[in-house]
Amino acid sequence: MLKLSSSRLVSLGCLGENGVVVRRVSENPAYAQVCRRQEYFLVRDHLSEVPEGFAGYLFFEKPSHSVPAVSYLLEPSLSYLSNGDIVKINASQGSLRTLYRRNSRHNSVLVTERCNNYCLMCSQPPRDINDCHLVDELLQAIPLMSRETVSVVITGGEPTLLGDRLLELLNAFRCYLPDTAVHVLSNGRNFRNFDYAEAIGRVQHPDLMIGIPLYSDISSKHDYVVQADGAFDDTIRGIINLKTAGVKVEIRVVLHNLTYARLSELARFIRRNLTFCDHVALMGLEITGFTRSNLEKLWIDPKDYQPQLRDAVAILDGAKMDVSIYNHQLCVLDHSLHRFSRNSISDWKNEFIGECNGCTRKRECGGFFSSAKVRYSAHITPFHDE
Amino acid sequence: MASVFKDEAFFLPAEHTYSLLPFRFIRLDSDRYVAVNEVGESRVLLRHELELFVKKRLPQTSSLYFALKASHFVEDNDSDIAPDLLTLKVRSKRARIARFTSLHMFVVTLRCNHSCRYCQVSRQSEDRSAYDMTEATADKALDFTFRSPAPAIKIEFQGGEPLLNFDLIKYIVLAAEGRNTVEKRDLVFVIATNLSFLTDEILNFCRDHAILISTSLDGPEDLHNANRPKPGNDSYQVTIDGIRRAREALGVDQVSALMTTTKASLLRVTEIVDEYVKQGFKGIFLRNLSPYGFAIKTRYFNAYDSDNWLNFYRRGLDYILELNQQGCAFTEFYTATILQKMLTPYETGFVNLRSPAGIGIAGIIFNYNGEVYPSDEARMKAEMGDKIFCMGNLTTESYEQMMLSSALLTPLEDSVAESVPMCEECAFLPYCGSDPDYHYATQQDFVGHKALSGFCKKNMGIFRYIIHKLEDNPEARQILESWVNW
Amino acid sequence: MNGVVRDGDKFVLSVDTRVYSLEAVKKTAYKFAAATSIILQPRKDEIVRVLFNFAGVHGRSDPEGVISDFCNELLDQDLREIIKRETAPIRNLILAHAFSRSSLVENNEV
Repeated sequence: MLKLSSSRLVSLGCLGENGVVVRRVSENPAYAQVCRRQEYFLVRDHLSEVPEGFAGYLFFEKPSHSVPAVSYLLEPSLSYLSNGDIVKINASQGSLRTLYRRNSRHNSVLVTERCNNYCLMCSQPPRDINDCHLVDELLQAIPLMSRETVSVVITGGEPTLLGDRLLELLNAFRCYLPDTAVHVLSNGRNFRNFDYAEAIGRVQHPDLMIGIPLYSDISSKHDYVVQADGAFDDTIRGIINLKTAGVKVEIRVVLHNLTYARLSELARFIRRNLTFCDHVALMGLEITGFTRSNLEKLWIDPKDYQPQLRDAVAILDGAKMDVSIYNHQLCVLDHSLHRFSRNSISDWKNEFIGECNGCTRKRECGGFFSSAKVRYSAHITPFHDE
Repeated sequence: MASVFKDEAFFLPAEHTYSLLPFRFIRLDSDRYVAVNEVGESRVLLRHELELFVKKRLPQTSSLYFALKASHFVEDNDSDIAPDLLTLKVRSKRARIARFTSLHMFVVTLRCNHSCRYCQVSRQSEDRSAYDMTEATADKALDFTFRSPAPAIKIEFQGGEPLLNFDLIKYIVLAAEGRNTVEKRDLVFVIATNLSFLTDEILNFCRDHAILISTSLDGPEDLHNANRPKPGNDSYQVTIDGIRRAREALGVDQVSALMTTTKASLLRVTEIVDEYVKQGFKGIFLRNLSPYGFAIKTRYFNAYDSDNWLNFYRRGLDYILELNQQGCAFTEFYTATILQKMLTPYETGFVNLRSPAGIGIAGIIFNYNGEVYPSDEARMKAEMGDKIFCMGNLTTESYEQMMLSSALLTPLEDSVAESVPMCEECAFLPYCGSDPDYHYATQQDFVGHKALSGFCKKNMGIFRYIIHKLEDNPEARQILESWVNW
Repeated sequence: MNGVVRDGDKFVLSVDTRVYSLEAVKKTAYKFAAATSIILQPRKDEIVRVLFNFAGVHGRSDPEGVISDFCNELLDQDLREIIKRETAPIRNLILAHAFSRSSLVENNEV
């Protein structure tokens, strides 16, 4: 698992940039002068001289020679950093956070840790703090992101708690990254206010989808999983409003012990009431955050819910709805479902375990969340294709 | 230390009571009933469960309660989204009505070389001027057609035998395509033909303009020829040859066949299905007995024939399901139409199973002489001497005059199922339709007494049979669900 | 059979309209038009007499079966009345909303 945050940044030079700076990283020593003034140079090899003219320098080894005025020492776990990545540095706090990685297939940006649900399996437990600096930093980072970025995920907490600032963010993506698909993960509840849904539509982002979880066809069961009374109604209203406003909506279902039993019923409910949604994502459980506290309530071996999963997929796929399965290892997934499986564990989170040794399908599979070492299926078996 | 997470019990409805949402019910079989909501979602249950439910004594944590709640038969104070979702679903089901008339049939000639037993319209004649549609009439018919706001328009050429007036078909196709460069509808052409007069020139034209072919195939050779006499008594062979040639010129999906059911067909359903399978069709429409062309002996004619027809249908459906289980993918199209109403949020395009009826507002027919009728059955009635459904003539009346004529509006309004006896309370209402043509033909009344109606008896028999399959037979259920056209 | 008086091909079922509404009895009678011929007659004390006439060749030939089915249907009609009474207002609301041009979902402020 990649470490995206570090609090062990050491200032090497005599100057530190004040406050928080957001900078793009370059590994190109021949970078045009006019460009390098805005970027930090990542020093890999032991150079007698670093190329001049960059705004700052990042070292993995303290050099023997003198260092430029703005220079920092990074801890070794940040060695994944490369050309085009964007970092946020707070010199006085000695912290660095990687906001964006150019080579990643799965850039996700955290916009707030506040949330109005409290899901039993939340992988990013809410914190009720003032974190509007996250949006400020992101607004600075967006213009620095590569135009070739395929997609970005906006996540939280609950992004709609940003109110109008979410619109600001979406507009920035529309302006600076018009070719990049944006996926917002939201519980949809604040879209019960039609004006807000309409405002999202008015941004006219060329490729925007809101991913909204729905865990049951029964209101009380959904509310129980998300630990919020009235959440089901709000979420459904939000979905309808977004679609009315012309915004694409994906319905997400995390599969665990409290959601698998009525999965077919949920599929029928979606097929009958929310047929107009653009995608359905069926997701494996991530054993992190609140999931650990609620593990006994939530854990079920994925092999054990394959019949329900097969049935639900048949119901949705049969109705010509777009369905995908995420975060499942191929060996526990029913063979007939492989064509729906997408390799999607963010590459800063995924790993394989000992049982995977020799498996010929690691690349398609995607493996596990790093956190899976806590609990995983008893049926992991490597494929040995010719 | 108490957990910050609340138990499931915390989220259950606070008060142990619930309110009913609109639904209807009917006996399904000797033990069970079926409840159906306003948009056709259904639940099979026992009579005493139904009574418990209605009298507010069904436990709110039972699986039956959850099923009824998820399908919006009931709401409680835990959630108030049900009326909004029902509203949306009602809109979806009704959306087709506003799209208005889509099917436009053009009777380009009454001349024909067949004398099919059940046909009321064809003329054995060489007299073109008496029985052919003129270009002037066709132009007016096209004006009328494009007055419809429907985004998709199907122009179907009928007769007699339409290929006997192929020049007019060419004229209409080219004229319609010309208008469509401006209108930009989804325009489709079909020729309903017995294939006797299929030339290469005709096939080339069809291919160039993506025209579909629909023909009649009543079953195996002896049955087909007995129903459809023609000089040489070779209608079957002509049809088979024609199908092959049409497929080779236009493509397999561009050629379809319809059967007409006669008394002779009733005991031979598996042979008829086998014939369709042998000829490479992907499915069949097991049509009901036409009430036209038979002497109606007593008012109980309908009931007797309905029973026999239901046996025909049930045996046919069972046989087709068996074929599917044996690896032969084959659909029964009427069943598929009903399944669409049962299992999807959408309404069918099939004009004969809608309420309000599809007459005029979903389909319309222009007779060779300019007379406009709201359905093919209405046209047949006129050819048999009763012009009660005639909306007017293209040469003398305007679109508004004809579409607002009482000849159309009276049967439409009178027959709306939601407001007629028995239908208004029938659980199968969302699956069924009004058929003013049929009831006028059999009971001389646009509504008809449904207890005496062959239409009602037939459809109820089908609905019960399908629901049984869906409920009791998982393998059949899977096959049936695959027939639904999403 | 209890509550039923027989006279040859004619049977009379007495229904108390304090238990089953007259409307329910009429609707039930309407449904049996194919099975047999039915006439309704009032009597005193809110009783309505349902006269079944099985003479003639058409319809069903099992009088007990028909009358039993009639009684079951009467019970069903009673249940339908309960449902209709309770759901007519919300049904009208849903249909009115569905056919109107108004927004699909109530605009709830956050």
